Amino acid sequence: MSTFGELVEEVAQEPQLGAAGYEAGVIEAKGPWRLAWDRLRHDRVAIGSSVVIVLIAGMAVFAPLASALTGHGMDAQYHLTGLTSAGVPVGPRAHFPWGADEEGRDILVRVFYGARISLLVGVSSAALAVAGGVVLGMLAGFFGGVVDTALARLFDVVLAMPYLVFALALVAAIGGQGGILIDIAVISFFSFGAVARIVRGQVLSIKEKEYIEAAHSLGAGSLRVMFIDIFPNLLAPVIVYFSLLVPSSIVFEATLAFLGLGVPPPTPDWGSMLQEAINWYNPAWWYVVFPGGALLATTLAFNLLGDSVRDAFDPRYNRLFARETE
Amino acid sequence: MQHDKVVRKAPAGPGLFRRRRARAVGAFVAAGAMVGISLAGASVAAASGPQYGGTLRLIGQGDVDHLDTASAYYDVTWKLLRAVSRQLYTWPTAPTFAQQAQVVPDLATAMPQITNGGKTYTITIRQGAMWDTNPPRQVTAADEVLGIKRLCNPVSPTGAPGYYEQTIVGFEAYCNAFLSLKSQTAAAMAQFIKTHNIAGVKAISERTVQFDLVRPASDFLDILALPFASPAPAEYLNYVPDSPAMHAHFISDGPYIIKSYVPGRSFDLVRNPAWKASTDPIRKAYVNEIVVTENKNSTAATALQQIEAGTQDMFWDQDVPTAQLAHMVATHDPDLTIGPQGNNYITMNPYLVINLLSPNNGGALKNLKVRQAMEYAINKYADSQAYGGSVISGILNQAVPPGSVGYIPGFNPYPDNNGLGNPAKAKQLLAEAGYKPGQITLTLIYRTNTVHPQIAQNDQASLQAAGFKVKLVPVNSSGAYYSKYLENPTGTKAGVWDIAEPGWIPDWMGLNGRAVIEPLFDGRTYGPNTVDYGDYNSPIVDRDIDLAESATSQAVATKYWQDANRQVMADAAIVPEGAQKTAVYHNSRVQNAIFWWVAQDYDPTNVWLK
Repeated sequence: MSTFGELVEEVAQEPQLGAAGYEAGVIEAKGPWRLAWDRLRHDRVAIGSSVVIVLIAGMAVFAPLASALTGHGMDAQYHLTGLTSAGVPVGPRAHFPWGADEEGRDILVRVFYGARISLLVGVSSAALAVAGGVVLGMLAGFFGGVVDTALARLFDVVLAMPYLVFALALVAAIGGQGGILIDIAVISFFSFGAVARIVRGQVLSIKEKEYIEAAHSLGAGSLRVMFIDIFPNLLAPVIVYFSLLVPSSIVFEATLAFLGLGVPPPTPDWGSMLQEAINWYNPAWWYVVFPGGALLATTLAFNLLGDSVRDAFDPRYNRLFARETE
Repeated sequence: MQHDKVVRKAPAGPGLFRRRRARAVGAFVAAGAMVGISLAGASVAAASGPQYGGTLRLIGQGDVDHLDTASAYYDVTWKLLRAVSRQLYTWPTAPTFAQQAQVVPDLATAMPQITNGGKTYTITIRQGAMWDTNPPRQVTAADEVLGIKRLCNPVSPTGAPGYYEQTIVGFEAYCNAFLSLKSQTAAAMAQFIKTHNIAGVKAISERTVQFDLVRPASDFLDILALPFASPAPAEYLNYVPDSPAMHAHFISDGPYIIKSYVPGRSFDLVRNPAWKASTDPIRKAYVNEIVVTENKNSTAATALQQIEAGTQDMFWDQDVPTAQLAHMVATHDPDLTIGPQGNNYITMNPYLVINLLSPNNGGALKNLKVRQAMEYAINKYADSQAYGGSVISGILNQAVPPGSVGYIPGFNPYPDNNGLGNPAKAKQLLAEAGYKPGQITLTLIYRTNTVHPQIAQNDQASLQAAGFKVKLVPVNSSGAYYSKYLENPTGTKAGVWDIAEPGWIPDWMGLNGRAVIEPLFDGRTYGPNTVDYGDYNSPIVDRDIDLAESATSQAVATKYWQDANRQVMADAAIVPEGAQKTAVYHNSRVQNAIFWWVAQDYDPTNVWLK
């Protein structure tokens, strides 16, 4: 990330070069966004993980379709067909393609519906964390002084907290199974610190650039400089961070649910399904494998995509790549 | 879970799972700290018939609630106390449940001499039953009197004073005075005990004790068989009851003594040299040593693995998890025991208790038809499956489980499709009561451990299918579930909860109306710490209770208890859902593994090792 300043310079300089030095159409000038996109779409890992993410999103969107096809409601209990008389869940079979859970509910349908919670919480907490991190990080970096000291200490405090313990206590204090909004709030609260610290560092460096000085001298106000001149240069690292925050938020949500602090039952949730399954892994492997597999596939896909996005935006990677192809 | 507090208001004291699944106390434990190795037992495998020797190893999670017999109330504690304490009468580890439910003499030489129209019990203690003192000393009538007197000590009183207050002349007055004693030092309590007497408990000779009752009580011997009524040696006056000092100087009249006790970690029991087999018809005391390992992090599944592997012999405070049960039943595992046998169940568990005081939904729960709709709505079959199905869990259609007095064979006032529920009938009743589907929203509080979340979701699903809306509210601690919600009249009146699914373990079986119907349905004593959670109060039931308890014959008493049961069901005060047995397991080297309902497990003093 330390070389991000160079990237910023490229961004600042390339358009002028293109306008002044070359005939349009002869040599195409590629901006950093375009370069990143080119690299990304040639990255097989990125393509593969995107496909998986689209599939998972498809599961979330088409969950009612799965419900209609199997004829099994999201939280409908089938005590006569989904369970043996001794209360043991039935395994995968025609009526229950992924088996049933301890309440005789269809695991396939529940995993599909569970994708909604995971994606909703994962994406929205990451988005909230990034938004909060960007705003606070910019304020700290841009204004400096007391504001910076106060905010930077806040970031440090948040980052230093034993977040899981604190999250457990917080969610419990707010009211047992607080539901999805509390989960999102808790997850984003514990994630924004890292984003804010990186943004602050970037802003500290960017705000010393000449073009910012120029903007100031032309009479631009603080807000304008922050959001029009500085913010666009933060987008690349923020996007990278966002793509990596999504999977960690999904895991965080599953962890909270596993500990009994997620969305209240009977709403399906991968984490709480895994929690219920721990007693059953021995006779009923499907109870662990399908929700666990969905969680694993989702977080792995987001992580790999996040890595690819980071590589795509990394200017060092750019040079290596360029040398190879020359 | 009313283990560690006084219950003054509920006449029959507490019951519900207070003895099962101890609260999690104590420090973290290093796993595998105490693994006794069998010496004598393992070396003589060829011989047949009972064998003496060896070390019996029990593995579990929690600790005893109290070690003092005056206040010990968990079934796991009663299992331990079997080895280190004796009572005048007890429930034997007999082969059949019917035999086990009948009290037999333990310290007493014979059944009591009952005179004065059933109001005076005269009991003689066996010659040669000794305390493990130095030198060993005869257990006397004075020790029995002291045992009863200590029940009301203000530091660690019994959890079930009601049984004694209702039966023994002068107990209540004595108790109230003792409980309000200002100074709680050992000396002050000893002084009180020495200077105050209970009118109805007297030592009339060295080994003969006499009880005078307020009125005849056909269940009085059961009350004497509870470990609460154990005799106590005079040495206990030197210590604050249930204090660490008292634990360290625990004096046994049973076949074992406590060699070491590390709270939250372990017990080590070894033979009591003062105990003579000839004075004890109940305990065979085959093994030389009993070692209990308590590991806070040990789940029932891991404990089971250790028992199967042979590094442990039997459970301490856990039982076979549902997930493992089906396989064991299917393969006819000879080391599995599901007790009690036959159509007998210990617990009424779960039952849906209805908050009759709830102001929610415009007081809809006060409407009989609404409650009757719930009787039809609940899918009891689903709840039974959650416990492992019919091998271990019976569907219950009345307010008393089979095995307890008042149970009426075949009685099913709200037939609901073989337990699967009848939502159509429920909807119809709801409509007759003037409610549209979805108009009533019920707050269901549930515990988040073991199968409770499953039961809550089952009941939510079946009530919703019948036109109710159900909001689930989780309570993370079993203690808070009872103390903060169900037993708290303030919250109950405010409608903090509408329905809940508690369970109930009677303190004894057979003629136990005083331990089932009275505490659960006698509304005259409603108040803090009640176990009549929903404040059901029916003058008809109250009258039946009074008539049953003062009945002179068991047949008459039974009739009144059954009448009470019928009335509770007619009023739909609760929705009975299930009655449970317990599945326990032992390593194959453990022999004579008979399920003993008192501990809901095997009796450690009567098993031997191959």
